[in-house]
Amino acid sequence: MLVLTRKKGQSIVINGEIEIVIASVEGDQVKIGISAPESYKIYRKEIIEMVQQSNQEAVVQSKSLHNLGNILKTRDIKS
Amino acid sequence: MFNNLHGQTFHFNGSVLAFEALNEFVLESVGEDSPFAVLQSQEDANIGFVVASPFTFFKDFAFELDEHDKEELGLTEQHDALILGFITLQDPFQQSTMNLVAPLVINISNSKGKQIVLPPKYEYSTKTPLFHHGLDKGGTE
Repeated sequence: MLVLTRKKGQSIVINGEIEIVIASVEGDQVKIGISAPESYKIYRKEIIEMVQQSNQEAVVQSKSLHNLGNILKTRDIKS
Repeated sequence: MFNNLHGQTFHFNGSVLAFEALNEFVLESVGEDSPFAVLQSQEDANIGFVVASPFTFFKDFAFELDEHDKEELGLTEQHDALILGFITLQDPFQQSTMNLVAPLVINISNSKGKQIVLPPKYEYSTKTPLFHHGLDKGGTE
């Protein structure tokens, strides 16, 4: 990982198409501005981790699907 | 509910977070009257996900697909889009939840699918209870 030290107002450019600027520094909070092509998805890391964890918790094993089928069949949205 | 898509393979191309090695999933309908289906991995027999359409349980659920995602999925017609949410089963079943932060978007005309993580302006949760919540105002208890 590349670690750079920046002051407020300074920027970092990645691949000539992504710019990261330190917008402000207040105490332990840093406001970061990011410009990137629209196709680039930018997320706070904890959101990604939350979805990864949720996906992992959602996994069902096919052996339990047989019983699952019975439970799911008899359920309607008002249950 | 998903009988007409039963047995169809969808290509997720590693877009399911934490399961980037998995690409092909078969949709297995649970039954004509059931709102649920299972997305069964074709690459790992031990991995499947219970899914349902979020709109079945959450009448106010809505989001916009951005142009990049539409392009990636080759989506040109609204009616080709199938939206599903991963369900986390709980015991008892009534406490089961759906991930509304990262729905699955499938283009049924070309079988491409993608898990899309919604931007923060949508204040949804990964653990939205399926039952007994306030997102279907007007329903009877």
